[in-house]
Amino acid sequence: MVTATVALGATVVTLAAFAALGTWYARGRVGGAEDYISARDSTGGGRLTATLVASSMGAWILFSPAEAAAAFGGLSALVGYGVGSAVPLVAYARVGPRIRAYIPEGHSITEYAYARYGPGMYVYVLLVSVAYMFVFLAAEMTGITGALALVAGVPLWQTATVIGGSVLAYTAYGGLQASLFTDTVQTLVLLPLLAVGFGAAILSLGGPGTVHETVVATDTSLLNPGFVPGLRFGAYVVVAVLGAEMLNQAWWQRIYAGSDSESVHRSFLVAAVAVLPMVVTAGLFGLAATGLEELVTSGAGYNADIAFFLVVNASFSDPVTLAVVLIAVLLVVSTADTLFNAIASVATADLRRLLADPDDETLTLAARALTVLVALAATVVGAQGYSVLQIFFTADLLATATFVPLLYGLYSTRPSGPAMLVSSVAGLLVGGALFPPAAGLLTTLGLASLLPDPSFFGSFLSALAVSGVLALVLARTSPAGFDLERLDSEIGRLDDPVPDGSSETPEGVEHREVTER
Amino acid sequence: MTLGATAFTVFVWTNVLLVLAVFAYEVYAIATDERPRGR
Repeated sequence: MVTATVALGATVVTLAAFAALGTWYARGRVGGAEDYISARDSTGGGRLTATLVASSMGAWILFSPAEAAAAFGGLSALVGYGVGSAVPLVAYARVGPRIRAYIPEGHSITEYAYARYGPGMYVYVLLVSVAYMFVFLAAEMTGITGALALVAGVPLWQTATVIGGSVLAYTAYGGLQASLFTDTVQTLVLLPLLAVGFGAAILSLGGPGTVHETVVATDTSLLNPGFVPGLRFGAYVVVAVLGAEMLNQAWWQRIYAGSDSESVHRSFLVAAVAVLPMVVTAGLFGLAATGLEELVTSGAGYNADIAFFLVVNASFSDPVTLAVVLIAVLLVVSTADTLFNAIASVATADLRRLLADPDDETLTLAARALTVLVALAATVVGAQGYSVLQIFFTADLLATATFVPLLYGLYSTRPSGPAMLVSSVAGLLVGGALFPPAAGLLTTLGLASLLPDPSFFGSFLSALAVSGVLALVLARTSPAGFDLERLDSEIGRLDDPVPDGSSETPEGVEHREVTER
Repeated sequence: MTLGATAFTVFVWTNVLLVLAVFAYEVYAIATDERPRGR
């Protein structure tokens, strides 16, 4: 077993290197709040793809895909998880250029919600979006503290403090600029480390043939690509992850960071292709874990959520274990810096309106203060060792019921704020009625006998279907009421306090790009 | 239908190689981004 000192030492060295790199790169590049939360048109296709890969691949890939493979349906569930991780990026490849076209000087998803739908939908989207991102961040911190505790016995609070503190150091100083740069370096280090580290790990398990024999001896259905429970799991993961990621502010920031719409389109597609094998490769360890006596996939003592690390502890030499630790640290750092800045940016972009045209110094200070606040909260939560899976599912359900009504407003003049809020809440209520974690509450209220059996599959798909169909029906029965060109005139740069609406983009170059695509 | 040992082996190594291929593409794309434009 790798000792706590070695694991923590390697973590500290890695973190110090990235803190230094991020701080160095951001020097002289952050002139104000606009630069801090937006790196508009600054990032070419290669670097944009790198930051998309780094931001989407968190420490969760060492937990959830392996759990899916070990406990929720084997190979079919695992491939479903991979597809679920890639689908939001494919969706953004289409939506991203449209966002740039209609809101060329925007920053955040909540700015759009306010300008397009008004205060009701804005508050709802603000709550759902921030809740999802914070749960994601807390899950990452919880994951890495748990991982280092498992493989090296590092106390939770030490890991949380070291990671939270060092990521905060460079994101509080350099904002999005620092995050984009470190993401690029992290991806270039992570990809070969992941391929070689996981390749070596599979060989140290005896190679794919041995893993195959292990799984066949346990349960052949785990290797059946058409295994129905696995396919059902894959289907609801696709919907849940798609919904949640469509409300992730980190992607909106990166849509604007891209050098042009074509780069945004291509980079999201390449990132989608990249994350699929990463998720599947990590999840293969869940299949390998099925041969371990320690694995418990149901009932008391359930531990399929740490299936990956059961394999690490049972089979790996110290160098491979250390490589896994470094992979885990890189994964969590690349996602944490993204989320620190994404959550801070949502509030910063809205402060301009809420504080009635504050000066740039105030906004920059507020953005940095918010980053510190988010980092402190995530560090404290991450050190508690909570189980965040249920909270994650709740945040996913909220987002799944929201994203179609929200984004519909980018494609049609008909949807209104109240109608889309009703659609979202209706989807949430129907999805909530079938949501397994809500079963106890529904039984207490005496409603459980009136409803179908709860399942994540039914819950997520009904939330999507009800919110989507209702949004469509309500919009169709309303007169066209919103001029989409208003989005451009109502949303401006933070250092341009009086948006003049004179930008030529919506009818010009960017719209043409969307139409041609 | 259960995936056979050979198909599973191909599946595993294809995924690992795809991650390496993405890395190679990233190196190329970033180098292209950074290359000065024009003569």
